[in-house]
Amino acid sequence: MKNLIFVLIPLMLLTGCGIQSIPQAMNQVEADLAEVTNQYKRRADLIPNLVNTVKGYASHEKDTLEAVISARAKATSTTIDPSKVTPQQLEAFAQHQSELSSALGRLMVVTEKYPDLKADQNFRDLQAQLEGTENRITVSRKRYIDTIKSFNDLVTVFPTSLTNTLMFKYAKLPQWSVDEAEKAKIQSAPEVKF
Amino acid sequence: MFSGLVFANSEAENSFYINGRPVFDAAGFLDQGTEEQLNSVLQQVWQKGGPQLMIITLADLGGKSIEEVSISIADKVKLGKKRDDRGVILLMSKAEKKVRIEVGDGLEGTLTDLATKRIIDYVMVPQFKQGNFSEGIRQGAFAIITQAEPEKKWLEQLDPNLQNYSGALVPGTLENFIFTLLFGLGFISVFVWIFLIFLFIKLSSLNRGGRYYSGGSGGYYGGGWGGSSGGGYSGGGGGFSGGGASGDW
Repeated sequence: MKNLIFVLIPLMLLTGCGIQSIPQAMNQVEADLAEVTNQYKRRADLIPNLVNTVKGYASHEKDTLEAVISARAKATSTTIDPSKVTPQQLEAFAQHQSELSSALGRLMVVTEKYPDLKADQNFRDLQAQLEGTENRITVSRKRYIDTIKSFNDLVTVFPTSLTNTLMFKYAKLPQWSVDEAEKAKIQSAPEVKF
Repeated sequence: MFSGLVFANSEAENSFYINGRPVFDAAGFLDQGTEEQLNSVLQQVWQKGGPQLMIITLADLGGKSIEEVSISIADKVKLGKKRDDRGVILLMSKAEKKVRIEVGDGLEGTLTDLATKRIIDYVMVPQFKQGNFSEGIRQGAFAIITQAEPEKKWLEQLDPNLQNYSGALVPGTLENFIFTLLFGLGFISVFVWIFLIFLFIKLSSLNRGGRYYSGGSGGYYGGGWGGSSGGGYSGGGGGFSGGGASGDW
């Protein structure tokens, strides 16, 4: 058995069967998650300005505005540390961001009723920034999902899985899930036209 | 859908060759003169150290959103140099009547979501609505180059008498063949290793004292080959994060 180890480990080192790529993949997972939280924060930062602009034209829409404000508060209070995050924390984070997306979506639908608001330059600028940020969120999420898949491939597929079993003992990571409500929203996102 | 676009794997860069030119006009929006001018201008700006802008027009988006198509092109093309990231893609689709400016990480400070939205809404779309596609694209491209680095005055630096640019054509089939060959060789090396491992397990159990096997091809994707020969307009590993803006006409 001892002979086997002496043969296998140099073999693995020589072909680089995961000794480098597995930790690298783990680092990439954490970096991509940090990027996702970054883009969500960027969105949260745009919201106060948006709420104030809308208030100026549509102050009667109190319920919708307050829903956005409270959803934002909930979302920003859930912070995660990518290197230490648990699946439960991640799920809570995703859930709160999803609720904020819904509240924002409803707000945008409501603004359709106010032509003066839609024509306001500040509102249009905020719209452009919000759309840009939503796209960045989508892109960062997609990359995160791809990175998780790459990592899971490394730890479950031979021969790197062998290195994982012998050396790192990482568990397969849970995939970032998009719940049903958000799936439906993504498929029928309200389009804002100028 | 991407007929004419060639995807090739080069050593470090994953470069994306569109006939080696900055402009790929599948939708036929551009007239000959404008296309030649844009090819020349964009190539020269890039060679002088300016941003790397690519203009792509498609007949349709194949059922995807323009943002999806745009970022997938950006991820393959990787315009701009690695860590410099000053690439930009101007993408248009004829059937859906959509336009998007996809901005590389290095230009997000100047080509903000807002700035690109304005270029689309105020410079390009008004022209498109009147059917002036060539002019709209040209003005949009120049606006992008100017807005990206206003202090550099890239356009003003150029000789007004622009020569015709003829980029190197990349033989797609040759590259695909070489890639497949090397990938195949890399794949075979995996099976060789597995065979050797079993061989040594067997030998070890016969108490021969393990022999040490050295050498090997390293990696499962048997390396690519060097980038294209000079003259091609290709990406350098630049990154994109989804910044920019979209619009329609």
